[in-house]
Amino acid sequence: MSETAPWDSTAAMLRDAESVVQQCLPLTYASCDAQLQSDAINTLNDLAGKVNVFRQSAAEKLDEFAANTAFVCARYIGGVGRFLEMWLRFKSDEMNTAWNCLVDAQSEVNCALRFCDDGTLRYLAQSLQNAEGLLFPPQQFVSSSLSYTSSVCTICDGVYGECGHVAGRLYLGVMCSERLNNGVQLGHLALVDSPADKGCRVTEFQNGVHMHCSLTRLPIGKAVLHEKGLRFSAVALRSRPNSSNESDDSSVRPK
Amino acid sequence: MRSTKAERRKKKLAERARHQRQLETKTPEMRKGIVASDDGTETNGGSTVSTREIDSVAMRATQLGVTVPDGIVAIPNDFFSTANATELNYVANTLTVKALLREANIELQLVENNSTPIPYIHNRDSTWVAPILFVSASFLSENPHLISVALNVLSNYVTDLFKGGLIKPRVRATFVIEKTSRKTTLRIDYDGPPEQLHTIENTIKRALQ
Repeated sequence: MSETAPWDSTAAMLRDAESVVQQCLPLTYASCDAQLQSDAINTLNDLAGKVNVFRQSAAEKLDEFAANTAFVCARYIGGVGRFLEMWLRFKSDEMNTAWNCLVDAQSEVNCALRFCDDGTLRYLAQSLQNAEGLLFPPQQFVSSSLSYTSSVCTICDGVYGECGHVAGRLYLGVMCSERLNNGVQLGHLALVDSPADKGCRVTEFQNGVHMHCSLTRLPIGKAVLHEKGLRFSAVALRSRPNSSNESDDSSVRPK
Repeated sequence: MRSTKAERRKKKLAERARHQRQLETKTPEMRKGIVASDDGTETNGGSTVSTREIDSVAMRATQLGVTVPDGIVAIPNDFFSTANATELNYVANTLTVKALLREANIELQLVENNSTPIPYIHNRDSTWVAPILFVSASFLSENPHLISVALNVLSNYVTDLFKGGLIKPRVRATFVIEKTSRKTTLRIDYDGPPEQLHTIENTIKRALQ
């Protein structure tokens, strides 16, 4: 049995969510106080929790519109929260985490934009795009090739392709995707310009006898030298934190 | 020296006639900005469509020892190039396309390897790749609207999937079609934005004529 829904209507949920987000949006700038940003993140996390309860309650009542609206609302809240967290991490000099927060925020906001063409969302997406270009050096992205023989639908756990659900669509507030069964093999890695997940990237590269961080460019240790080439380290696959999994741009997800 | 009024008028008429001749020699596709080259490739804005003759599907299936069912069939990658059936694989979106076409009452069949299952390959980059779709000549003559419906279904799905994003999405799709008149098999490859995917329908129609 789920908790009681925090709002009695979709309109009430949207009104409250919009009010909270509008109070947090002015804090999505570098100069804003870290404590205020941290408090805003906590407020948004509380709100996201309530929206999730509302989504589950709507799904139990088979209210597709309410559940799907709550899903989109949660992406919007998540996007603003991750944007704020990016600034906190950036100011704490945690560049790898800051990058991941930025990428997650972009993923959340782009997912919300798919279902709701809203001016604020578009502005937020553009701000995130600008932040990427301004705060971080261009990154070399990585695309991994996964090989598998069977997969299941995340909505009904049936055999994907046979069950009738389609990856990337919303069903009662949950996005369908294809979950790969055991026996997934990593085929190859490719260096690409447009990856499915910008979190998959070259994190360290060899320059001379040292390995350097791709974000700070600082040397982070001696490189194990190789006769025939230069070394690099990369993130090939990563899991998304919390609710971000539901808004994964990719419609195929490793188990 | 200034030209006379009659000379200016004559020159203007000649220019107009030349322009008219140019328009008449252009095909409707050229007027829409579609540029065709000798190797069977057409470029139109951001998209590229290429057409070429390939080996027959039945012949390749015999060589590889795989079964190709009747109807509209998803063909594995490397089907026309590999020598070994164990190297075949499907693009990850094959099952999604199967589910989408089923909604339009089109049953997508898959090529089957009789000894081992053909794996799916998911390349985690941002290009949306559709499986190679093969339609036999007999099936196409019985279902003349099949290509049109399939293209609409794919185009709508991918446009919706990438809606709202700041980065322009890219789609790759391939159709393999048998031509009854000359008993040849044509491969039509599309690479471009999802909203122009439906334009390959005209290329397919022209190729079948």
